[in-house]
This record gives sequence, structure tokens and C-alpha cells, in this order.
Amino acid sequence: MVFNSLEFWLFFAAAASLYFVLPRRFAWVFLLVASYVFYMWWNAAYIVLIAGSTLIDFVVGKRIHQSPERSVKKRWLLVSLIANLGALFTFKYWTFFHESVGALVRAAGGTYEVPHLGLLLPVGISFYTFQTLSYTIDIYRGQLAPESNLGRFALYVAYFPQLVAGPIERARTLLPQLRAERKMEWDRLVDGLQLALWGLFKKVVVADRLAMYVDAVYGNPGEHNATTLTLATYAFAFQIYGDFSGYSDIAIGVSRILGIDLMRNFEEPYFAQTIRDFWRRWHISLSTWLRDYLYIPLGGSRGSSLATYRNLLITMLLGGLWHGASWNFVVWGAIHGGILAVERFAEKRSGRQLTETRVPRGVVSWVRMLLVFHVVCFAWVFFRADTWDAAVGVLSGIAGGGWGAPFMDPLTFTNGLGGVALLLVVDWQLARRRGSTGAIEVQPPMRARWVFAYVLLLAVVFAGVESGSQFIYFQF
Amino acid sequence: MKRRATYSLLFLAGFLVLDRGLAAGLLWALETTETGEAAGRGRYSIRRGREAEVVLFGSSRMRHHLDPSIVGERTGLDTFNAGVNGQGVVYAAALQAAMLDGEGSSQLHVLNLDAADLFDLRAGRAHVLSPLGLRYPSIDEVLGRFDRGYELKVIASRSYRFNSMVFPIAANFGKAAPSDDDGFAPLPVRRVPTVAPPGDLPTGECPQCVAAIEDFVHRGREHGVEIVFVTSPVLFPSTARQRWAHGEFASLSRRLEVPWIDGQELGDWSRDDFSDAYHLNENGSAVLSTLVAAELERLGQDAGSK
Repeated sequence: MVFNSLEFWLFFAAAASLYFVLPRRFAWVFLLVASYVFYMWWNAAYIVLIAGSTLIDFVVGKRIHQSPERSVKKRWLLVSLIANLGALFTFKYWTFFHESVGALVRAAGGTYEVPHLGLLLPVGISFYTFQTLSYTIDIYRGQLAPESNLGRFALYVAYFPQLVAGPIERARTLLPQLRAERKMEWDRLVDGLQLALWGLFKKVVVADRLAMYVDAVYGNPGEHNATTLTLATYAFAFQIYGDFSGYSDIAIGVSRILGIDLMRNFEEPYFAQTIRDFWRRWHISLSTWLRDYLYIPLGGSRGSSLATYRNLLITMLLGGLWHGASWNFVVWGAIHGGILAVERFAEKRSGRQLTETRVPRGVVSWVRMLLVFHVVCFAWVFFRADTWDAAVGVLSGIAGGGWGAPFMDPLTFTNGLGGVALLLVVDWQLARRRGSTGAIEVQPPMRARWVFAYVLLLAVVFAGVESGSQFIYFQF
Repeated sequence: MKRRATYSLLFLAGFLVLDRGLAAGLLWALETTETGEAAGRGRYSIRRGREAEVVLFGSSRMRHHLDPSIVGERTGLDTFNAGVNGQGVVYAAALQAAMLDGEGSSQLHVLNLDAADLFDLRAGRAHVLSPLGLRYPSIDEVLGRFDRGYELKVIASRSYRFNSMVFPIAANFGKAAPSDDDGFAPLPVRRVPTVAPPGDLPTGECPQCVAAIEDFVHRGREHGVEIVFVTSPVLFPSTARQRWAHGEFASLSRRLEVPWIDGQELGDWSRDDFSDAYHLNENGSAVLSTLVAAELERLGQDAGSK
């Protein structure tokens, strides 16, 4: 049941109605049942994994909190890390790990048979694993008291709007909201629907339309000239942005209707003027998770310059690997980590911080924005290409020139480009309206919101791709 | 509370007016054109298909493969090719339903079947016929049967019928089909691949795919129209998928008691006959048309002698 399907909206309408109608004390129980049903729609058997992870971390959280000694707390934390990361490794990285070992063994002249487990990758495993890990780590650090109610904790792990692709919420912000009693609020309903509609537009009008072009080109990179390969790479940049930020907006929107605020996951990333700035705007819930639970524990920027560069690189390499079990994702992470280190080096060398503004101002700022966008696009090639050879094929195709007329389907061109143009205009407006906290401070007048809602509705109706396709980040 | 309810109703009313108004305008624009596969082609096919005695249905492997003039010459029957690129059996069934809705001359409906028709329903693609559902209710009946949630969506939004069709309608606005358009579009001779495209067995079953084929057969018979299946040759017939599909077509033909003309078996095909792995070029299509026409004539004689 994906957000861009009729099933989901019927499910949500029924779930939200019952949620508000039921007696307050049962509302969270119902939300938990709805969340489990939502997940089981995809694969009923894999609910056991979520339930198992929930039970382990619920018990571990209590044990950590109750243990007076640091060493005992650490042992319990280790239990949580092994259980969660072990499941993640088994389901996501087993084959990749063995294939990599096998390649090394074969390169050394040996033989190695990859033991295939034949397991299906559970949807959202990377997301809920990180979410539940943050819970036990925060308790270990003394930043959070454990949840006393197993059911509510289960809801924290499985809350359906953000279960399969985030935002990766922290227990300290989500759990208190799950405890609070909710009632239907008009403003939340309107805001939530509007945000969900915007997300749906980004998914079905922008992302899914561009996907047709990207899939056709990246499926056969050798058949296309440099112009087409470059256009397809730009198209993928907006496809993945539309796809993932669209998912996040729908998640945040439907959750807002239910009275629960999820964190912002995107803040106009393609207006970033440094790669560091990009990571403050792209998949914010993951980048802050990696910062808090990996980069800072590694030492962050507290040590020598070299140690900081190393920490940045390790964080981004693992961040890349989090996305998928492939060396392409590792390279993607390495490119980002490497450039983050270079930026840090440049700042240290010049003695001043690279300036970042919400939207580019002035020629230098625009040039930097375009440069960052192209670096991000370069890295996206490794992210999108199915294999290492395909990525190299795309890049060598672009580098090799041959800038002839591009392969172009007129419908993709008109609908896709129209969608991207609207996306950028709205992003520009949003960026200008954000205050220092990142929140939108100036809301447009109601008349403008109505017109915008009509435009989005009609765009979805007329130009939306109705394939019911999965969101890209579901596979992670 | 009252103000909010009023705003909600006003917003919905505004959408309703916009939605219905735009749909009416687009339907008017669509009815000026008979060209464009995502625009007026469907209208033209229904009009021309009603006049024809033999109608050829299917995907690009019908549109580019069977020449109605050759079939017509051999059988002595007015023939029209209603094949459309990328479409599957649901499109054919919806088009056939609209043709049979009114007065017509149909005697024989030939349905081209591809391996993909056994595992890929492609109901969403048949959505290009949805605007015509406002004129031919039987189209909505077929699309509603095979496209999940279709009825609900077209009730919620009439404009939804024109999804992805605004630009094609604008581009084909006011264009009539040429008077000699028999639907056939031969492909040029070009270099063909030497490596077979992926031809693995499909991973899942598609009962709806078989249901769509049955729907086509039953509707034709209800209206007294003879049905014949045709499969076109492919350049690489020995992939696992093609071999599997061959067996499935044979069993389908036996079970539904529909004659099956297997294009692969009819001729001695070489690379020179193909434009790509799945499509014949103009030379190949001329040969196939002649062979299929002869088979249709033979089937007609057999039926006559019974």
C-alpha cells in the first residue's frame, strides 16, 4: 500500500475517521493496529521482525535505565546493537558481503560459493532500525527515560506514516506526542491535506514522469549520446528529490492530520551552496542521525584536522552503505564525504566559513549553487546506475562528448519539465519564507492557497503518472 | 464551524466546476481529431472498425505487421488494422466493446497475442480510451473490470479521464484521419540486434490477463463475430519466455476453441525480415500478411464447408 495509491487514501480516510471517533484512551491502540495492518499489507510475515525489534528494544531500554553500572548499561546497549544491526545485516547486506568476499577470494585465485539465503528485503528495515536504535542509545546516554507502555513503544517503532521511509524520528520528540490525547483540528486538517497534496504532486507529476525518461536512458546507457545522458542525470536529480521529498511531505501531512508533528526532512536542497549546506537540507532526519550517533561518537571535529576529515569520510561511507548493499552507494557516500572534507580544509585554510544563504544572492552565490548542484548530480550517477559498469558507462558517455540531439519523449518533456519548474518556483518561495529555525514564517494569503491547491489537484489529475509505483527509498 | 463548512463546500464546488468544465472542453477538442494514439486514434478506430468486416486488434506487433489491403484482397472482406503501439488486450477489449455497441459490419475479429499479454495486463495504458467512455459506456465497463478503482476515480474527477492526454489532444486538434488510413504502418528496414533481449520466464501469474482475453472472445461471440488469434514471429523464438508463451497460447486456443495462427510456424524467418527483435520490417510484414491472409481464407473455407 503506497501513498500514491487509491488503497492508501481509502485506508487513511477510514483510519483517521476511526482514530478521532474512538474514545481517547483507545486511540493509540487503534493507531498501532492500523500501523501493523499498513505494514502487513506488503508482507504479513515480516511484521515479526518489527515486533521482535520492538520487544528487544523495549526490554533493553528498561534494563539500561535500571542498571546502575556503566558496564552493564553498555552490555545491554550491545544487545540492542547486535540484534538490530544483525537483522539489518542478514536481510540487507548478507549477499553483498559474501559476494564482496567471494570477489576477493577469487581475485586471490581461490574459490568461494556465495551462500544465498533467499530472503526478501523487508520494506523500511533501514529506517525503523535506525529509529529504534536511537531510542536505546538515547537512554544509554541518559537523554531519555524509557517508555513504560510496550504498546506505545510499539507504535513509536511502527507509526505508519513514517514507518517505511521516514522521517527517522527521535523517541524524545515522537513518544510524548503519542502519549498526548488528540482531537480533530481544522487547521491541521487543511495544512496536512495541502502538504500531502504537494507531496503527491512531487511524486506522480514530477518523479514518476521523469522516471520514464531516466529508466529508458539508464537502462541502456551505451545507446545514448552525451546530451541524453546528461539530461537523464539532471532528470534523476529531480526524480529522486520529487520522489523522496514527496513521500516525506505526504508522511508529514497525514501525520499532521492525526495531530502528530513529524520533523522536516527536506529544505530546498538544490539551493544549497556547499555540500555541507546540502546535507542540512537533504534527508535531514538521516543526516542528523548520522551526525548524532556516528560522526560525534567518532570524535566529530574535536580532534585534529585529519581526524575530522577521517570522521567525515567514515560517516558518509557508512551513510552511503545505509542506502543500499552495493559498492555504488559506497562510492556515492565517498564522493560526498570527500567533498565535505575538502570544504572543511578550504575553510581552515582560508580562515573563514563558507557563507550559506537560504537562496543564492549575488553572482558568487549562484555560481556556488550551480557547482554544488553539478557535484550532487555527478554523485547521483553512482546512486542511480544499477552497476558499477553502468555508472562508468554513463560518465564516460558524457565525458566522451557527442553532444547531438537528445532522445526525448515529448510528453515526458512537457509534463516533467512543467512539474520541475513549479517545484523550483515553490521551493524558491518556501526558502524565502523560512525563518532562522527553518519554519515557514510567512504563510501566503488564503486565496493564493486555494489557487495553489486547485493547480496541484488538476496537475495530479491531468499529468500524474498513475502507475502506483513504489517510492525509491522503500528499497532502502 | 459554519464558516469552515462553507469554505469546504465552496472549495469542493469550485473543483467540481473546474473539473467538469475542463473535461467538457477537452472532450469537445478530442472530438475534433481522429489522429494521435493518445488522442483521436481511438475515435477513428471505432468509426472505421464498425464499417470494416474484418478488424485486426493488438499492439505494435499488429499495427506494423498485418497489412489490411493484403488481407482484404485475399479474403474479399473490408479489413481495418486497429493495432496501437504499447497496448495490450484490455485496450483491444475496450475498443471491441465500443465497436460492437452500435450498428456494424464486423464478421471477424483477429486478436494479436504477445507473450507479454500473458503476464502484463497494461490496463493503465488503455486509459487513453477513457474519455470515449463518456460516449460509449461499454468502454467504462471494460476499463472498470480490469483497472482497479477506475469507477471511483472517474466519479471523483471527470478530468481524470484525460490524464496524460492534454498535450496529445492539443497537438492533434482538428486533424482528421487520411481517407486511405487502414491503420497499417510498416516499419523500415534497419539493422537488427544480434543478441537476444532478456527473455526470462515471468515471475508471477496474471489471471486478469487471461480474463481479458476471454472477455474479448466472449463479447465477439455474443455479437456473432468470429474470433481468431494471431501471434507474430520474433527474432529470438527460443528464449524461455517465448517457449512458455507458445505452450500457453496453444492451450488457450484449445480451451476457448479459437483458431490460432502461429506466425512463427508459418514462415521461414530470417534477420532480413526484422526491424528489431520483436518487429518485422516492411518486407517481413508483407510476407506475414500474405501468409496470415491465406490462413484466414482457409479458416473461412473450413467454416463454410461445415
